[in-house]
Amino acid sequence: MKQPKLRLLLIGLVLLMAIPLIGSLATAGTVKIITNASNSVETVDDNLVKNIFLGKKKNWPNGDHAQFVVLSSGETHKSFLQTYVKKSSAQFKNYWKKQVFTGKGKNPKSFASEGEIVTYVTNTPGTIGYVSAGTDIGDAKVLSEK
Amino acid sequence: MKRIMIMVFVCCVLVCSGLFSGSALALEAGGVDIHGFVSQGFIFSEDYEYLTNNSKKGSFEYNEIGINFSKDLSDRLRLGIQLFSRDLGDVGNNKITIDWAYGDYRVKDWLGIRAGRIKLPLGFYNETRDIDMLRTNVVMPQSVYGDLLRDTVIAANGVGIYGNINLYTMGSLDYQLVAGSMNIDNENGFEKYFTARSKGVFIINGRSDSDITYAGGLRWNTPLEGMTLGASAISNTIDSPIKLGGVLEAKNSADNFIYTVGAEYIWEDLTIAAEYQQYKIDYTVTSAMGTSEGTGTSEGYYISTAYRFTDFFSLGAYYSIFYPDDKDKDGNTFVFASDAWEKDLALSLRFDINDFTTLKVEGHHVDGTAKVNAIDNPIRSDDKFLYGVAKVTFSF
Repeated sequence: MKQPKLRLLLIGLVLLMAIPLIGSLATAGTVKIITNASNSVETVDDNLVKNIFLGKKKNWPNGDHAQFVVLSSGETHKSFLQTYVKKSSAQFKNYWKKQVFTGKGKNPKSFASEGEIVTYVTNTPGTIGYVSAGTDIGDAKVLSEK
Repeated sequence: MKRIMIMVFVCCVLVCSGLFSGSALALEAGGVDIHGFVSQGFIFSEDYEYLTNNSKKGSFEYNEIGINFSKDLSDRLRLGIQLFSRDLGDVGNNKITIDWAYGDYRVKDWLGIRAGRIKLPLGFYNETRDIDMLRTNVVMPQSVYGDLLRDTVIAANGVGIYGNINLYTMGSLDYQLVAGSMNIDNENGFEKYFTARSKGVFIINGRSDSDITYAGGLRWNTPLEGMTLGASAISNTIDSPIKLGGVLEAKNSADNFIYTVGAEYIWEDLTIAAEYQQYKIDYTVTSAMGTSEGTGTSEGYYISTAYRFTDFFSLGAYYSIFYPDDKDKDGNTFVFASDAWEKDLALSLRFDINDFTTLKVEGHHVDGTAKVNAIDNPIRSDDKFLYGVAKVTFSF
């Protein structure tokens, strides 16, 4: 291949990297992080939430086992991942596929609706989940809201 | 065992056709999670047989199949196994191997212990190189992830520790250390790699053995969101019975040291990665004629980028450079000068048909014949050539 063509292809690569700079910035809706009422933890920082949902932290600061649950899709799911985990839903899915196919973890337990998340968190000690700001969380406890 | 691989295929078909519930992207039997994938590719090249020994005519001998079974025995203890099979022309030939199989006990978040057959950290992607649906490109940059050495560097039988260390305002550090024995199978690419690396002087003449292999990897998740810096290394000694010049029986003892450093940046749907690798071999050849020693270092690096435009379409590209001898990048000591380098420019299109099916098409422009295997291509006709691949992957 002649050098000018190669140069053009390399310029194309650089332009490809620049596409997000001109892309639109999505705005995330408010999300509540909820846990079972029996959890002695009252608040969480973003880093702890991120590490629990990436499987890097398996326990709460008080030593209890932390189990996380996710929505399978939807705007609340996207907002949560964007705000707390700093990943898109495709990246989050890919991250867990990596864990599954290298033996390092199992896919997160997922639910189709926020109501199912509230029910599961309410009935299961040590769990952490998320719902949109307007969702009735019953007996569950809010750890963070953004 | 072949029945198991047929089962993987059947499961993929059933999951992809929607006959199983796809919400969890898995099958479950008795608390055991089952996941699998089937990747079938087609490769076509001009001028040279590349990657496979029959690519000039176009070849379907380019696939990977895997299935894994895992179970959480407690909050801290996990057990799993993955069976794997691949075909790359006359390498692999769909022989079924144990890809990984280990028990994993998490003592603390910063300390876990594994024992069994453990995947080795080498670069960002060695552990996931077989899992086609995790990336945009089909062929990994050969400068750092050469396909002929895949089976040799993929895993070791032994023990390891790993963990995540909180660095607070400085991010966090993932570490992994493994000590174990490698399985070296001549038919799975080692023999072809070895012969090419010795420029055809050493011919493998039996089974190779390694002493204890040590591998380690560090990943610093920096305070800059999405930016990860990595460093990893593998060290061992491999003893191989050889024939010098195809005639004189001898023993080659090679001290291998491979290290890789790199950076990966993920911002929204954009991924940029760059890695640099050096592979140093210090070898001693012992024969009836006496003992001789030598050393050689290869060098490779690449930069890659991928952007996910929509849930359906992603575009990726990389530029990969490899020098088999870092002291002779112009080919002055090579029979064919173009064997001294490879500069590969790749462009990849990825289509996600649904959650279980991925289709990719990829074109390569290659300058240099360093990775054109001399066993399949005794003559060099051109310094530059093109090749293309297409691949469909089903996973669940």
